[in-house]
Amino acid sequence: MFSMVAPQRRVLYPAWRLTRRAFHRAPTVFAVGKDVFSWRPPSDLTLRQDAEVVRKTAYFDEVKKDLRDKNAFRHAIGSFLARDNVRRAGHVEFIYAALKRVQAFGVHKDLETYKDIMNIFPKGRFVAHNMWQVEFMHYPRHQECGLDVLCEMEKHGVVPDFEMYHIVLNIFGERSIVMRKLKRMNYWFPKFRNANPYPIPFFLPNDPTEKARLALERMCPDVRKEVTVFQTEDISEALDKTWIASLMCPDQRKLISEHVSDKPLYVDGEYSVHLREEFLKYFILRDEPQELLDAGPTPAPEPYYELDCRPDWDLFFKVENPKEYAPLPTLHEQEDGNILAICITGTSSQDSLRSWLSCLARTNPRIAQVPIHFRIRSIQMDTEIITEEQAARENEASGFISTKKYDDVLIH
Amino acid sequence: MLPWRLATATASGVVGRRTGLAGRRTSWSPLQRAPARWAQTFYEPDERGGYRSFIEYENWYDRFRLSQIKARYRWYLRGFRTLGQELRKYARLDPMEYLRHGDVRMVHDLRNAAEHDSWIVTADSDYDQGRSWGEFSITQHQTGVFSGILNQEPVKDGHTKAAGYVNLRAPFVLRSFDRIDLHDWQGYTHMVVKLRGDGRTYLLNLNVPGTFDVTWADTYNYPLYTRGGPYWQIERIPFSKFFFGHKGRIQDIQGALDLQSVRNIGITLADGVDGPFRLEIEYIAVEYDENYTEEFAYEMYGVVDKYH
Repeated sequence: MFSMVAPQRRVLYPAWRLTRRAFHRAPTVFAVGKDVFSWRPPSDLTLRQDAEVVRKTAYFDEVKKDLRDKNAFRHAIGSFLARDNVRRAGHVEFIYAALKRVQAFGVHKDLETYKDIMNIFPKGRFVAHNMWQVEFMHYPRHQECGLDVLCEMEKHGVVPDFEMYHIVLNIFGERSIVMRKLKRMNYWFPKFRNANPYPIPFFLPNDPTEKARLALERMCPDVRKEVTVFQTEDISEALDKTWIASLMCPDQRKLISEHVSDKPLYVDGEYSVHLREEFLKYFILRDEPQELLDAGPTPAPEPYYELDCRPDWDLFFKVENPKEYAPLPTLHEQEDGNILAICITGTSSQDSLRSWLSCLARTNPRIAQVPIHFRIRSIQMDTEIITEEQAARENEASGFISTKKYDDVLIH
Repeated sequence: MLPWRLATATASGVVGRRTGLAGRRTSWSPLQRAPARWAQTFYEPDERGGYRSFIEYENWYDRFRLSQIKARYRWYLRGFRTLGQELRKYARLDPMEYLRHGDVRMVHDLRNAAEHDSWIVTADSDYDQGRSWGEFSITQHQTGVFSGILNQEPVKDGHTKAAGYVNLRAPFVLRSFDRIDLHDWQGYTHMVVKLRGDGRTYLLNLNVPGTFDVTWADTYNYPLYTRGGPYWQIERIPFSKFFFGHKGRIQDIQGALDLQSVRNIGITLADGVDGPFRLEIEYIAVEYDENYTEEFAYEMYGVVDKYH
């Protein structure tokens, strides 16, 4: 743990830069070498408290993994309180231990559990009774612990209610930073609770096909969207026995049926889509018309001011006539290609995509007649640290900058 | 006062610069983070809050390289040329711009090649505070892609409690000699972003730094909701809905955004979900809607008890 910290580095500044600085800001900035962050060993008190938190997590860790749920969590809290319900010694450490384990027990979105955690604090003891106690933060360690409970709620989008207010009122009183935080949460969170124009349910369904259906319905702006769930067990040549959620709209059916048969269609992917904490991968059946490819990148429109200033001589000399009629493109004809269908499969494998195409071909016979190219590349998920030489090689290979390119960037 | 430190940041603009993951840096020295105690006090060492830009770690004698002297020469040349253009523009005395319903002005239009430079990505791993990384690159369809991986695992240094952000910063509006100008959106009512996201919620930041150090980190924020999927979406966010924050914290005393004092636009991802992200942007614009009359969407009445 200690060896991960880099040694302190000194910075060399040119002399004229330091003098210029002196006119602009406080002289403390000179002390760059002294003022940088330096790692200090934690104090004995901190170490003892950390060890105590680790010891207190045993209340939760002794529960077997398949029995970890809300009841087991409440039971662990109950067994801590049963040990010493009067003094509740070490309750701050126990609360930190509980916060560490809320996600493991799957109760991180449950308001009742946070009330149980907050209720561990003894009532009345930490209430400030005069302005000096308020000003100098009565029982700071306990108030910070209470703040951390509220922060954990904030992290998981749980809004405190009126009962929570009374719990905090009894523990820390009206004049405490915990109460300030709680009141701010109750003021701001409801404003943004339903602000998302593309809403997702707070509790996602457990069924993966239902999740896929939610994601697909959310990503398509067409009101006539239809999501179908296929099972590949029906298909004889399928190797992967899995499910496929497929989205297709009537306009897309029409686009497929009008497709010229010698041009290929593409299956593109994989792309990522998020439903709250869920991460799904989807694939697109796409058509890239030749005229779109020939046209190259979308031309930038002319600035409004230029357009406004230019005289339109056609308008000046004759009556305004519509020059040309063109049908409006459908929603699925995007600037970089036509989107013909979207799918999420259980395995995201190429075999499941082939099964998807054969399912689509039942209702869209044109798909069986045209060549289909697979352009699949996986999303990079690795976050491991690579060495400097590897990075330099990788950067050169992928065309990213190296320091040599910085040569002509002006150093101020 | 010339904010020269910020001007240096714009000079480093390179499209597709990868940030994050200590190993991905090549040979410049690691960035430096602010001391932990600066976060607990009112002391502001500089506009960046003590976080150093890597360009400050160049050796002093590098300025005398031939390439640097050439670059300095080109910088002055460009400066005088743009100064001439500015003076000509002032002398021309253009009539005042009037707005009609539905007028849209592009702020950052990535379909212009001139807009491709100077987008800067920062992540917590730049300062050894986490392991997230991100990059900004231009696609063949002339759109910008902000992508990377968010990782919330904090570094085990005994101080860092939480990690997990990646930030994209749009280029500054520059006058001659790299002086930073403010956006002037007076009269416009909406911010318009054409984007293609991945279902995550991003945060749109409008920086409005003031003169004094306590106002250097002032920001107006509003979440940028994306629907995910391959379809483009056009997000219209009223300026009245932007709320006032400082260093990522919503402030108690709120007020409407001053549309003449926005210096910079940024997009942050810190939604608390580990994993890859991808946000494609085609343009950021402002729009005038004459039917929209709301000035500020949040309560503005005073409170009796100042403690809460």
